[in-house]
Amino acid sequence: MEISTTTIAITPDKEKAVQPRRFLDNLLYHIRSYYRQEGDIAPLAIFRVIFGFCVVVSTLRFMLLGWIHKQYIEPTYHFHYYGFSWVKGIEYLGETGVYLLFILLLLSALCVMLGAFYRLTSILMFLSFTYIELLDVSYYLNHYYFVSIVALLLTLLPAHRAFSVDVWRKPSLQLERIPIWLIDILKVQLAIVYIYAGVAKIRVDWLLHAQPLVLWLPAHDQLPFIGHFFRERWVAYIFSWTGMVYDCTIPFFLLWRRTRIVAYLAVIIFHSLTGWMFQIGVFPLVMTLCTLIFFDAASHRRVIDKIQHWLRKAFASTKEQTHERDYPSNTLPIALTSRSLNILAVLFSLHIMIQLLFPWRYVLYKGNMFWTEQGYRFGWRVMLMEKAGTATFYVRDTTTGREGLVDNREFLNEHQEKQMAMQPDLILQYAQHLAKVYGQRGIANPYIRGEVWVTLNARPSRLLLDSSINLSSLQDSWEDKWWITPQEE
Amino acid sequence: MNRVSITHRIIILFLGIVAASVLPSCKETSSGNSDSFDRRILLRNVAQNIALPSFTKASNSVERMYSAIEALTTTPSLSALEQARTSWMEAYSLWQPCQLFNFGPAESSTGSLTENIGTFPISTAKIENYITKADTSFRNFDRDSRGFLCIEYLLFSGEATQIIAALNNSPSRCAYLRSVARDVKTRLSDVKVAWSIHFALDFATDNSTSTGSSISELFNEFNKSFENLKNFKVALPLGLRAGQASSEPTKVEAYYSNQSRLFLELHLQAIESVWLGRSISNSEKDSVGFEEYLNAIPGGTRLVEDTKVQLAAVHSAFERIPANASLSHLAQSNDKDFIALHTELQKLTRFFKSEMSSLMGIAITYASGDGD
Repeated sequence: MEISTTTIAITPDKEKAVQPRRFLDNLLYHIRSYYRQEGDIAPLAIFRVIFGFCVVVSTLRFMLLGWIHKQYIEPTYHFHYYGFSWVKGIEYLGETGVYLLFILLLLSALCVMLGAFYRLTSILMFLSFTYIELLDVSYYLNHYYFVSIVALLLTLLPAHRAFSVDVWRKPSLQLERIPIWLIDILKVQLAIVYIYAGVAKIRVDWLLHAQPLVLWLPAHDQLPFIGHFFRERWVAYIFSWTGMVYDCTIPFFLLWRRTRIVAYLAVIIFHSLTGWMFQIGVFPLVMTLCTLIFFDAASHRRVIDKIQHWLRKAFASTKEQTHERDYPSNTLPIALTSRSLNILAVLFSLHIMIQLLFPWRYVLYKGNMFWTEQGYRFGWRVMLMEKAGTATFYVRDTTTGREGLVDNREFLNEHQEKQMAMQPDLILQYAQHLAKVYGQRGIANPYIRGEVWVTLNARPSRLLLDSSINLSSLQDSWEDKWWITPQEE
Repeated sequence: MNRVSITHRIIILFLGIVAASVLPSCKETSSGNSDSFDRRILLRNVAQNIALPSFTKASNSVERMYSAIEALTTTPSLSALEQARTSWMEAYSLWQPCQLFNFGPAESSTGSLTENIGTFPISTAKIENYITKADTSFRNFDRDSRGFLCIEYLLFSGEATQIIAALNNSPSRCAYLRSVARDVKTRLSDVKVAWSIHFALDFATDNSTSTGSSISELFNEFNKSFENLKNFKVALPLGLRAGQASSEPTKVEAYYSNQSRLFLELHLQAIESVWLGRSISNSEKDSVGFEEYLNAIPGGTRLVEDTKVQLAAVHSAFERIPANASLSHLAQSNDKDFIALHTELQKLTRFFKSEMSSLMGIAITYASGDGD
């Protein structure tokens, strides 16, 4: 380069050709040095504890509320995820089996939290949690999806190699420092959740009509201190805009050291408020605790040191010797091989690509996504719309021509019916189930049609689909659902 | 982190607390009169002018019915039967509005009040079987073997003389009839007492919208009751339910007394009363109900208009059924006016079921799971 600038005159064309290469070199250089950058493992270890704790709490809560019975034992029908009709609860496992599955989840989450037999238990936690979620799509929640994703990432991360039972059992496992991208992947995942949830809020209904908050807030006007605010229309606008700005920007403020404390305070306030007002379960707890990973490694290390200090004190009389050193000096830490790191890097890049792209699949479908729900799930669209439907199905005996209407309560619980009545793919599944059931009850070739009235964000109800077509003759697929009526504005 | 950031933290926390406690009181002084809706006024009106009087009247009437049945079963006679029949008619009429309040004290470990005393169609085979076995324990889940409509069967099925003869011949039949009447009396009286002692007040002061709150219970049972009316009192006898091969005239409500139209009308009126906030004893007195609630919500007036139009359509469909008509006969002949009533009720469903809950913001509060 030196020579070229002094001896040879560069034509503008040549300069243009060199410029991008220099940029690319630079970029690769930065990527490479980032890839090799190491940091304290402490944030990852703390994250493991926190996340395991969240899953333990969530599972215990689910059990204590009696929801295993209510959601997975009682219903006679379950809505499956597309491509996952083979996942079955009570049919395969029996009632005891379903309960055991939850106990497996609870125990594996507990082990993950403690870092015990982590390689196995992290996989068990991911599998059991995900299997349970796949049992019935009508219970789909974004935060369950989030838990599944993070549990999957954790199976690949060396989160047990500090501050864990595994290290206590086998000190040579202990690592002090790891490549920082093994921690950053979790920050990226969290940032995607927030930013995508924020971007999803940039739409006319949310920002210009404050829908659906203008409907939801007045229902909470009895809350102490802030309740009477919720009767005011402008408060819904403030909440809508704040929510959008919060979601879009919070990851950056958490990343930046100087704003971190204030940002985390905002996280606490935001999630406590939404958790207090809406029935969203453990989601606020999960997000509030998981975002702690944005704090610097030194703070995490201090927490670990403090806890280990307490533990040492508590067990001082018996275990003083073993806890004196983190690992005996003659056993060197088992390092992460560069090959496994390379594989991980590829997998994580792939994961991020999928995470970034998958929520946009809705643009490939016709119509308003909020109406058709094509590409709605797995996109971090959280509390974005007030949608409800009244779905009435008619079963026609094609030989006699007699038609009768179905009482949905006979087949679905309240929650399932409510979800089904506004989601086209569930309507299709249900219609096919009805065809099967009434076929067994002696109606040959049943013709199933559905009259489905849906209201979206306080608009008058409209028919969601052509109420004359035979729904049992249709198949669900990735293709556009042509039979959905376009939404009228 | 160092000392400075801890001070920062404390300052911020402090400011947050200050803001949270000061802002609401500022608001109070600046504009106190936001014309919002107080759910407690609705709840109080529903409790005082609909639920409580309904349970009181029904319970008192059931006491009279029980005495009449006791008299009949002690010494069966035509006049005693006539007395019992009249008192049953009155009691069952007054029971109709109570069905809308099938929550709170109406829920028990043995099922809901409506399930226990209002199940239909009943199974005559099961009733006769229990009579034969002289089993009046009610320790079973055959709710179609007791309740109001079992009493109706025992009082109305057949000629008066036959009924008297059957009662005279079978002490076990008398005992069963009396036990069923006592069961209805006790269950209804328990719920009435609970409402009058504490529940009316509890109900009316619970301002929340969460799961199990007064407003969501009222709304859910309102809808269930409406669907029961549509699906069982109308669609079932007409054979409009999926899987029915023809109309089933014997499955009308109150088949034996042949007064289905009257009971249907009273049930419909009760549903309308709750929606309007209309007093059950004085139809002139229309106060705060779902209608007023909706009118106070953005987008609600449109729904109120739509609902009123459809309610009027239901009314006129109902009026086309002659006052003295037997619904059972109409079902038998697939009467087009009776079917038209079902069609109009069906059109009303979405206003009650999904649009109302959507606007009131209580749809996101279900007992069986979280939302997001």
